[in-house]
This record gives sequence, structure tokens and C-alpha cells, in this order.
Amino acid sequence: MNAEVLGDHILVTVWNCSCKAVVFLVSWKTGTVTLVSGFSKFYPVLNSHESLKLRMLPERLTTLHKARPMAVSINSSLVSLVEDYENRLEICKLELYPVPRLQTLCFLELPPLASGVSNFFLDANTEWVPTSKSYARTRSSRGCHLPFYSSAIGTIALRFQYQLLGKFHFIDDSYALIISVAALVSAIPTDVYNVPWEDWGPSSTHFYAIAPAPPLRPLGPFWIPTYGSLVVRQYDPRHTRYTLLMSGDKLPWQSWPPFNSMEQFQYGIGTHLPYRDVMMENKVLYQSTYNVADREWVVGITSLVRGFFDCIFRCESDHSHRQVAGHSITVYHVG
Amino acid sequence: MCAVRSLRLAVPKVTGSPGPGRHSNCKFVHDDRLKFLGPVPRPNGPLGVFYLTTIGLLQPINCSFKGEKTGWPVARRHWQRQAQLSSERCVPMPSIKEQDRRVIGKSKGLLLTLTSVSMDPRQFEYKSKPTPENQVATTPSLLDLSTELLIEILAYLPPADMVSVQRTCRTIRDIVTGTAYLQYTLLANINRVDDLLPPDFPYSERLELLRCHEQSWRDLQFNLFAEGHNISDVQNINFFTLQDSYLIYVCFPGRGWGLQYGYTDLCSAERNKELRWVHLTMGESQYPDSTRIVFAVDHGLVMAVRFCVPFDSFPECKPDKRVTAVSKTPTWLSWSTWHSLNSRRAHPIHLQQHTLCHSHRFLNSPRRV
Repeated sequence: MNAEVLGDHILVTVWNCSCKAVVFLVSWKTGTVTLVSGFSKFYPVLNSHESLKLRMLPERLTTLHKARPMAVSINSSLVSLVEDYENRLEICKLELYPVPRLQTLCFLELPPLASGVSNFFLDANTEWVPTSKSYARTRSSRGCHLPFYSSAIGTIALRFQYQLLGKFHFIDDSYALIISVAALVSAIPTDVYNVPWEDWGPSSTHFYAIAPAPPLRPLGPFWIPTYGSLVVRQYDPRHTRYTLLMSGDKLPWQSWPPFNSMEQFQYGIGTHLPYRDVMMENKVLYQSTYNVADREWVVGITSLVRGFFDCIFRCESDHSHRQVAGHSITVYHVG
Repeated sequence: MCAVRSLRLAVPKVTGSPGPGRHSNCKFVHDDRLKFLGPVPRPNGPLGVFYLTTIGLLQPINCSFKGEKTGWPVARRHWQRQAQLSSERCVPMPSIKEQDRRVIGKSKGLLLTLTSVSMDPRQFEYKSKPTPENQVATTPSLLDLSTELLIEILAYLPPADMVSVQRTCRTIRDIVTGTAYLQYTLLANINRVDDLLPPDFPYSERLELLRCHEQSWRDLQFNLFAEGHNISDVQNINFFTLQDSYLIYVCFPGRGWGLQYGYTDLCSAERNKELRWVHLTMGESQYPDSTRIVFAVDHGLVMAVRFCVPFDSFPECKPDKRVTAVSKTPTWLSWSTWHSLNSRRAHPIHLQQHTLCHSHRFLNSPRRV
């Protein structure tokens, strides 16, 4: 299962061993559990508003038979269901009133696959945003050091792997798909249900191969593009356009050249979402096991190995946890 | 006598006293034409008078015409109507070229089209307030508005449009770049940030703070706040997360053990002082492997929400993928919450979860360790 905080609600995707999935919306303030997308109208769920009785589901029928879709929030009203078995994203409008439900707006196709290739969705990450709409009031009552926070997700990072049918190993490394939310929202058509990759992907995304091990991590408005990278990467079309218009200078922003991988894709996949790389000169942050950050705080966390307190290792697998003697935490303040 | 029938001009905003000899040129918007209709002028006499009204300003203008003949009945009809309108605030027309006079003199009616207009700034003077009777139909340009109004209007623009409009003319660019409020709105939009400052906090200082903040991110230069704090008393930490300035850790000790998490409030922390952690242990879970935890923060209340779904409780599907049967075993989405007691308030749904906890032997209330 997967759970993601979406404002005052939690979006929960649950699937079983047969990869049948349902999506729930849970109000973490009131306790209301509501099904927003299920595969059977007879599916019983718990509704705590109705004295823990079971209730019947709405009519929406979703047959999910092959793999597990996962819901990723785009903003307060849009949700993307990653459907790797169909090699597409289902963009849904999340309506809370009168009855919570997901309404499909369109399907955005992912990079077209070569014959006999399957797409496997690994994980999704988004930039940090507050979990509550009353964040501002909360902060002002706690006192704040610097008054800025981000209330909207700028980019979403998805990771995929590709596999030839009938083979057990994956092709190459995993692939990251960085999606600009602003570009994605503007790409949602009003009159077309299926949007080909070429109509939205190249201009709205950055698609590149990365090492398969850890998920992409956000660092404030940046992404750590690859594991152990010395640089962090910022995708921001607004910034790009503003800098271009105001300065007229040659920009440090760049776009990724297309790569040819005929094994898994039908043709070379080129994407043009501009980005800029910034060298991470802070050694503590670079050497940290991992970093977490919002717009105000940057925290470097270093796992300390028993007996070698100055030794830093970067493995997050379970067997390595036995050696960890603690965690050293360094907190930075932005501004 | 002559009068203006209709005129649509883009008139530059004039502020202060213009210097002698300077002329402020006006240009037509679209292809509107000033139609001049009147009797045949006397030789060497004034052609007529007309006036140009902008907002609150009656301005004499110089103009040149291009003439064409029209039928007399039409000309007379217009003349009669315009004469009434122009009975008060008219200024003498400047002379026209001799060849044009000859053309006019041979015609009973003449339609004159205004081809250019210029105003002598020395003649800028307020003649009288415009009234419905004397007001000529004009369409003022955006720049006729006061600076304060322009700022209000520009503040409504999306950032992309505000950037674009700065490129249309220097006046607007100067207004945007010289107004802290607009600059702040633009930069906050571009950087996708909101602020937590009080409403009466000056925008100039707000802008300075934002620039400092973004500069810090742009260069990845941060201020060290607290360094090297070890939480060695907690083992097997799986991950950290930062939610609304709470740094939260989670560790899964293993099957049969209570799940642990802890947090520290960075907002309440003091620079270079030890971080104060609150460590909490959740109750045992039958299904630790199917657990996922998310954290949500609101009003000083840290919520840890744990979900757990028993496997193999979904309805079965036949190969044709149509749901034809429902399992006899009810499917429960079991979920639970704990409040972690910054404010020591019980969450509204906490009591409801006791019922769940009891019936499913899932969870207990959190206890401090």
C-alpha cells in the first residue's frame, strides 16, 4: 500500500497480491474514510462517520488486473494514477464535495515502448509542501526564523524500469521522469482523452537513466539527480523564462540531449524541460547519508558506524543497519 | 464652426509643466477618423474650432486633414448636431493649407479626415470640467490611470504576464521595478513561496528577506544552526522526514516490536543548542510488514498515521477480469492514528480508533520511552 498526505487528507492506494487496487481518501482530521476509486461497487469499506458500519461504494468501476497503480498528488485537486501496465498516467480530478471521487480527465502516454517491453513503476517523489492548509497559522504561533514556505509542488519525480517479456532481468538502469507540474497542468486537454507522449512529454519532462538503487530525493526546490551526486538540480520553467526575459543573457539552464535506446523504446527519447545544476560545496551535506529539506531548513543526516564514528557509509539496506551506532544530525537554516 | 464627432486617441500621460516648445504627439488608435463637417469656410477665415477631451483635461490641439467630398444633405445634418455640442469649449482651429482651402471652397460639403494631431504643451490648461454635454467619446489608454491604480492592476497579473508587460514600455517597466509590492509579488510567484509575515510588514523589507532567502538557495549557502547532534539511543532508524519544521524519525524494530518514531521541533530549537527529541513507541502490530506511516502536522499536533491491510481479503476476480464474487471475509482498511503531544491534545479520531484497536488487536496509544 501507499499513503500520501494531501492537505487535510491522506490519499491511500491499496492493492493486494493480485495487483487489484483501490484508492481511498482519509481525512486525518475527522477520521472519514472514503473510497474514491474502487474496482467493485460491492466492495465494503469502513466509514467511521457511520459508526464503523460498512457502506456501499459508488459506481465507479476500475479493473486493475496486471500491476499496481499508484496515486500521486499533483496539487490539491489533481491526482495522477501511475499505470505502468498501460504505460501511461491517468490524470484525475479529485472532487471532495459532495462525495469524494476521482474523475478521469485524460491519459498521458509515457515514452512509447518497443515491442515486447514492459514498464515497471518503482516509486514517486514530490517536492516538499506543508501537509496542512493551516500551516501559516501553525507556524506563526510557534515562532519562525524565516517566513517563507512553498505551498505548491513544482515537480514530480517518477522512476521506472523496463523489462523484456519472458526475461527476468531488467534492461539497463532505472529511468527517472521529472515532470513539471505547471507544464503538466497546462498540457491537460479539454477535448482529447488520450494524449500521445510527443504532445506533452518532451516539453514538460526530463527523462534520463539513473542508477537503480535509491529513490530520487528532493532537497528544497532542488533534486539530487543521481545517487552520490555532487550537484543538485533545479527544474523551474518560471525561473527560466523570467531570467531569459529580464536579463537576456545566455542562461545556465540546459536541456538534456535525446538518448537512443532502441531496446526498450520505439525511438530516441528527447526531453526539453530546462534545468540547472548547482555544485553542492557544503561537505557536510555532500557527505551525509542523506539530506532532508523544506524551504527553511536543510538537515544532513549521517549514519555513524559502530567504532568508526568518523566513517560514513552510504548503504541503506537492512543488513547495514545493524552496524549503525547512531545518527549525527546537522541542521542548517536558510537565509 | 466645426466640431469633433468622435475621436479615439492614445494620449500620453502628461505630468508636471512641459517645457516651452515641446509638443506631445498623439497617435490614432486603430483607424478612427475625425470627421469634420461644416459650411464652406470663408477665405482666410478660421476653418472652425474643435476640441479634444482627455480625462479631466481640455486640450487645444493642432491637426492636419485630408479632405474628401461628401453629399451636402449629410454634411448639413451632422453640422447641426455638432454645432450644439461645440457651443462652449471650442478653440480656434489652426489654419490649413491653401490648396485644401481651394478644395473646400469648391464644395458644398466636405468630409475631412484627421491624419495627425499634436498638442502644444504650453496650451495645456484646464478649461472646464467635462460634462456629459461637452464630453467627446474617447478611449483612454492604460497609462492615463494613476500610478496607484496601475500598481493595483499589475498586481493581478500572473508572473509570466507581469514579466511580459514590463517589456511593452519603459513607464510600466519603471513602475514594476520601482514598486516593492510588485517586485515582491513577482518574485514570490516565480519562486513559488508564500510568507508568514504580518500584514503590516513593509514590502520593501519583505522583498529584501525574500531576495536573501532565494540567494541562499541559489548558491546553496546555508547558515549552520545546530551541528553534530547524535540520537544514538535510537537504533535502526529507517528514515527521517521533515514536516512543517518538525524533524521526524521512524524506525521499524522488527516483527512483534512496537514501532518507534520521534520528533524535534526545529522552530522551537535554539541555535547551537542540543535538539530536544520526543521519542514515542507505538503499540505492537500484527502486520508490521504491511505497514506504511505518513506524518501530517497541524497546529502543533504531530500525527503519525499507520495503515495496515490484511492480505488476501480482496474480492476474487475471474479471468475475464469482471468482478463476479465477493469474498466472505470482509475487507478492512485498518488505520490508526496517534497524537504526539506537542499540544497534549487528543485527536478527534483517536477515540474511534480505540474501537478498531480493540477489535483488531492492532494498536495502543503511544507511550513515551
